[in-house]
Amino acid sequence: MDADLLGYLIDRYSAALVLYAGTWCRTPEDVVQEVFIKFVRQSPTPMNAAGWLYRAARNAAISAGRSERRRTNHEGAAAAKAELLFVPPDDQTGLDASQASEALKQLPDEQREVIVAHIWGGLTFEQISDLTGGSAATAWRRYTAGLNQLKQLMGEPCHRPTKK
Amino acid sequence: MPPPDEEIDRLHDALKRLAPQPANFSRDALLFAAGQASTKGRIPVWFWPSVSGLLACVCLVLTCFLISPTEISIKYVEVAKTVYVERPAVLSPQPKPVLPPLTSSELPVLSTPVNLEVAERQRMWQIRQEVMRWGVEMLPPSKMAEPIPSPSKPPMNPVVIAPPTFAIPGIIIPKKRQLPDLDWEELD
Repeated sequence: MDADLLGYLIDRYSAALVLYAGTWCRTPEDVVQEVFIKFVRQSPTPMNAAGWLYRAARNAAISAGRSERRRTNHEGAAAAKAELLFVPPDDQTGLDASQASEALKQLPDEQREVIVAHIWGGLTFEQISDLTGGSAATAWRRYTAGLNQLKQLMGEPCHRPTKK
Repeated sequence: MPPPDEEIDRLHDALKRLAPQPANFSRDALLFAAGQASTKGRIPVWFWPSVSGLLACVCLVLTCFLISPTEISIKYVEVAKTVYVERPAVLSPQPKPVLPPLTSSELPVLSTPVNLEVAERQRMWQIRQEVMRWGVEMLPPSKMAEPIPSPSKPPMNPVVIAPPTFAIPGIIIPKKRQLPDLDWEELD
């Protein structure tokens, strides 16, 4: 595999994949690294690299989450809760990163998965339906339901008035 | 799919502006690990250590041979080899040509066994001719029998021999007899 292509995929998808894998496990970085290494070993290289990466990350994260649940402790749970999912934006007119992180963590997994894959992963609903195993309409319904729930959790902070 | 709600669109745009936390791992380390992983599947891990160990053993054996050279022993092995020779055509036996009696002038040089045999035959033939011509008296006395002295006979002169004969060593030829003079007229 071309090293430039791998570098591009890491730059483009690693952060979103970490956020995506964080839906199911507390060590998404490890999962994503393993996914990229698995991707390199694929012969031939998958045509839809993004879809393959998200599918592999999902499977690996679910597997890692199962392993983690066997050794769950309070410290780990607290640390996971305090983890910030987003970089605080320089633009003060945008959403609060910590509030968005908390709200996103409270979403059900199936809604959170669709939202992360569509917004930050750039996958279409057809690709998400391939990932999750449902239909594109189901993915879209989950997406809208998740956003509505986010809106309620964040207290309608979607559009802050700009200070003039 | 139903048309998107404006509120949802706005929330979508606001969420999209949030950047996820960058991955908490080294990009270079991941690339390095990926490079290692890409070559692992092709060549087994034990391949190169095994090759190097094998070559080291070969070098050790060759060094031992170099240090303690042994004499080269040549072994001769007998290999049975069948040689086929063409058999000569069997010729019908030809009758031996009857050789004419040899004359004294045709005597060969006595050097080989074959020539000696021929010479012996020649000698016997010569003796036979002498006997036929001069009688058995010309033969030499036998060595086994005692020679009987005959005082009536004059001693033979060994020097005088018959004119057409040759002197043979060891053979004493008696003196030529005087043939009686025949009266040819009376015979007619």
